[in-house]
Amino acid sequence: MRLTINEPVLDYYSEENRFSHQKPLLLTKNLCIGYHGRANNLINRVEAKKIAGPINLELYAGKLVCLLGANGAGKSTLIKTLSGIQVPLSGQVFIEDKPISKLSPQELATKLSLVLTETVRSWNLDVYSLISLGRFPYTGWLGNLSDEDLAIINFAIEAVNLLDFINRKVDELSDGEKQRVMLARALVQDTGLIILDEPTAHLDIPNRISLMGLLHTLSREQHKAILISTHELDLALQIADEIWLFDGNGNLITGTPEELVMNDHFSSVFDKKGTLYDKSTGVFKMNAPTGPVIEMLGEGIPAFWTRRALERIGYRVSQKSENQATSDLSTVMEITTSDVSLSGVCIAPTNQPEPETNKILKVSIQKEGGNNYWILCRTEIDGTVNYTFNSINELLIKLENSGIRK
Amino acid sequence: MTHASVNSGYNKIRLLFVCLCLLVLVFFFLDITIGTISIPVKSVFQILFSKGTDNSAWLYIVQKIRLPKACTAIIVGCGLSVCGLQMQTLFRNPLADPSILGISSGASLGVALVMFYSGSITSLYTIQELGISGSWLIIVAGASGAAMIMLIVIFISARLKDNIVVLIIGVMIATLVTSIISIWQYFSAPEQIKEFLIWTFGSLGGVTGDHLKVLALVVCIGLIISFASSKMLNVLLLGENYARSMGLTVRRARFLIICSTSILAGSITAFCGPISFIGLAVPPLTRSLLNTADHKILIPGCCLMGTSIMLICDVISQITGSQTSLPINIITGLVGAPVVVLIIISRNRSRLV
Amino acid sequence: MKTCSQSSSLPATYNKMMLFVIIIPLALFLSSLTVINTTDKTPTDLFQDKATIKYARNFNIQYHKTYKVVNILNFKGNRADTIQYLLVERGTKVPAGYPEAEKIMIPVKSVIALSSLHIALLDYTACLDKLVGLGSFNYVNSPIVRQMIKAHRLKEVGTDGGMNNETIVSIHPDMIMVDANPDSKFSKFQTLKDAGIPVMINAEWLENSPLARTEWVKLMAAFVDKEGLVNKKFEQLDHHYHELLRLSARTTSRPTAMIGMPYKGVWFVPAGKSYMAAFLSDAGMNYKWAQTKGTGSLSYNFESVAPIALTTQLWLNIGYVNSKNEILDSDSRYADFKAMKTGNLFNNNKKVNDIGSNDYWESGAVNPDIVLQDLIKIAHPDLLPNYQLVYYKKLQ
Repeated sequence: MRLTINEPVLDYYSEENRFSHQKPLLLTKNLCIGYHGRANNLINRVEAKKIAGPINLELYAGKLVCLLGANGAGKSTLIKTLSGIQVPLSGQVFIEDKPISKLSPQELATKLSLVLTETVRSWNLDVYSLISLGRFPYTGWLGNLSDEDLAIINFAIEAVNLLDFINRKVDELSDGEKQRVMLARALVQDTGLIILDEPTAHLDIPNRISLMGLLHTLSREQHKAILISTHELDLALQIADEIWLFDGNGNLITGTPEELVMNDHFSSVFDKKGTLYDKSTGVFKMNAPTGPVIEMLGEGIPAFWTRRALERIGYRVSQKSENQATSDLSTVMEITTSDVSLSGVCIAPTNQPEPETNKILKVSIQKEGGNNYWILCRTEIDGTVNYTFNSINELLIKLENSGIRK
Repeated sequence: MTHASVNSGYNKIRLLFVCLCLLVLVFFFLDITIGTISIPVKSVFQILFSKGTDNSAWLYIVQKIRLPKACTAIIVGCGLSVCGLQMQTLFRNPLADPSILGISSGASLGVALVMFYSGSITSLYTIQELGISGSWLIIVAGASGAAMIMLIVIFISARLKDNIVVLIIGVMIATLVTSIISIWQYFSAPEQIKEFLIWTFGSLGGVTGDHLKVLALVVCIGLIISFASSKMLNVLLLGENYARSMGLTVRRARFLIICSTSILAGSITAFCGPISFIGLAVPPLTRSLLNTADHKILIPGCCLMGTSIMLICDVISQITGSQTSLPINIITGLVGAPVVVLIIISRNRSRLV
Repeated sequence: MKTCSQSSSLPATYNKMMLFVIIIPLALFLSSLTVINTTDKTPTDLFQDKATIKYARNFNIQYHKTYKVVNILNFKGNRADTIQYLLVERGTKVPAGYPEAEKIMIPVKSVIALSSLHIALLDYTACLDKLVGLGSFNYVNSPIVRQMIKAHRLKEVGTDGGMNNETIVSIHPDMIMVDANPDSKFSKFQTLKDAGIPVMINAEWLENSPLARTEWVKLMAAFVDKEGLVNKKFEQLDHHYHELLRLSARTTSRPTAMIGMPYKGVWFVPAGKSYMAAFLSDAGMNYKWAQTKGTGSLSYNFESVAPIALTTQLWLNIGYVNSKNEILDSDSRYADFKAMKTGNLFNNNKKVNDIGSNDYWESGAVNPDIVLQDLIKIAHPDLLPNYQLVYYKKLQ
């Protein structure tokens, strides 16, 4: 039994852990995956098609690996091959040192459990019964549960936080709760290796986050090896110990998330027309802006979101990190735009009355010699033409109306 | 704690089981007491439990006609409902019934072959030379037909990964067999057609003596195999992919389930003719009554529920006819169809989506 | 206008001669005309022998000089549906006034028969030579017909659903005889009617006495103009039958009898007014369902029949079985029937030939007196001590 509730969490980064007594739970040698050829009928023959390979992978206990890649790159095929559903074109898969082809379904079930994308229509099953089905490989011919089985089931229910639901029918639960039930069932199956195939596909954002977080916790606390195939790039980069990335040409790139990002592997795989992976923020940018560059001075949440807004309407923003906070909520932002042809344009002051509080973001545009225009955000009023904007929207509108060409 | 709430569920199920058992007993006595010839209840009890009665006709009727018929009803109720339950689980289709694989069509094929082609009496003689005579002829023919279809289905299912394809093939086989029988009917004399038609109405009354013993034995074997597959059936509820990942050898499970289904459906059809709706209506009824999906509980539950319904259908078929009793298939259809409709409607209403 | 009186000036002798020359031929001519008229007014009756129907209720024959009108009736409730046939002697013209009737030229020269009963009818009227086709070669007992089959003189046309219209039309007989309830749809035979082949329906089994049933031979006779022969034979039959009736009336005991073999718990028993029930009562037997209505058969479940079967002495017409064991094989519960215990089991399949055809249904249909004799021997063996059963045999 591998229940490890109170064992110390192994330090992933320690060399000791990595190469000494621990053997990989999952190992592949020169694995090539793809579709097998077959003769459809006497006339047609479908050729074997290799999707990816040769691949050499290792997965250790206590590690959480996310499998990423564009659609059709081979994620599903790899998952099916690793879990024994599909036969590899060549090469081998080893589960705990045994080749997968030599394991009976019963034996394999004690080493590897699956959580799939599909939501199961489960016919009057209540949560407790479904979860206890996970003990299938261990129970006798009638499926009666021993005390040991019951203990594991209880533990799994608590681990996924389903204590309030155990008597409800699975069909009545929300999709997120259903997937937690399936995960609990996989836990109860008490395998060293859990493979999940796009488990968050039908879930909404809060549920996705909570499920991924749960998996992250489980890999740590239960010392399980977890492999997740997912499209959640954001969450994957946050929680994965290792990323396996399909590059679309049949190669699988492995490494830590940071390695993959910094070495531009991510960008090379996912960058397409109109999308750009921004290493500095770790998000995908759509429609990279092409307008004039605004120099932005400032940091913090307002600066971040103002920058987002400006980029959306087409300005490129160059952010400086000087901090010139003058009051608790307001932030100093200096935004410059250099557009030579616009010299001479000045935004005339309005007759807007100024609000009293200095918690409001103030933007002022000052004309200076040369081609630089400064849009200052100050709380003081000294000789600058001050404009008060209560929201980023107003700033944007003003910029639109200013005629500064983008 | 998790245990307590689960236990209270079990207590409720135990209570329901006791109620069902009582219901079976009541209906059993009703079935034996009611009939075309009115026999006072006291005499019935005397015949069953004590010395008997002076009226030899009554003795004959109760012992030789009503009692075997009631026993047949019990066997058929158990067999067909468990068969239907397994089909519904295996194909994950709430409208599956025992005939879905074409087994009972196979039995019809065998019986039709004998009935339409023994028009020439000499051929009947030659079959008698083989040692199978009289009533056993029809039964053996039906069982052979069912067995043949079972072998075909097993052969096909062993080569296919997908259950849906097996289902479709079963349906196609059933259609093919029906067409063949129709062709034979078209070229036959009216007496033969009528005889076959009567066979398709189903009858619990023709199973007596040795027939009853053999049928009981075969159905018992089928029920035992089914009960032993409970664990497999439970895990199959999650679908084949999950079942495989949890350690189930899907091919072997499918083989066992098809075997037990064929034994149950084939034998019952061979002895009693095709009886519809029991396999279709009883499992959903049992599932919603016992509120569980565990086949360890559902299989005995289906047996009890199927028995009660079969017995009450038999009682109804005797009340309605005056000198004759209505064929059992008509009654099961009349009782079963509204039940199925009710179940579908109530399930729809309770669905949130 | 003034008449010319010039003629009176002619000599008297000339006038007298003129009178003779004109009047006598005229008189002769006129008298010959009347002679011709009387022959037209009173033509010869072509049918010297006429059939008179004593017992049968479901058909009648009306005789006219050169044609006969046959009505086959079916009494269903209050209605009487009739099918009418117009039998016209060859060479005479078809009378008007029967637009609905099926027209058949008689005597018919070629006949197709669809059942072995029809063979018996043809045999009775000595017209087997007119047979050109049969429904099935498997239901034949008559040795003459079997010879004809061997000599390839007959064609097999199929029965019921397998009836081959094309073969029948290509043979184009003068008439085809079918077995059907007159009540049932005639449309099955529309193709044949359209091809000009007359279809004659036999519904003799709906009569309610054996003699009435056999009397349908007279109908056959009408088609082949053999009334004389048939009348003679039928009278003998009638006479013999009544002799037997008097014989059976002499007994005081009337043993109970039941008929038939059930299938899957459903017993089909002859109704009270059927000819079979009449046979039983004519033979001096007691038939439990003699009070029921109808001329066909009724269906009962086992439970209704069981109390009677347990006390009935004789069991007749037990399907296709040849021995006691075969009865028990089909249902072991029959062992308790009184007739099984005493061994009084008589089946009407003694005269079954090598191809499996039962003569009870062929010659037995036209020899009701012999059948009656068999039944009397079964019920009251002492009345006919030296008689051997012909159609029935006791099962061992």
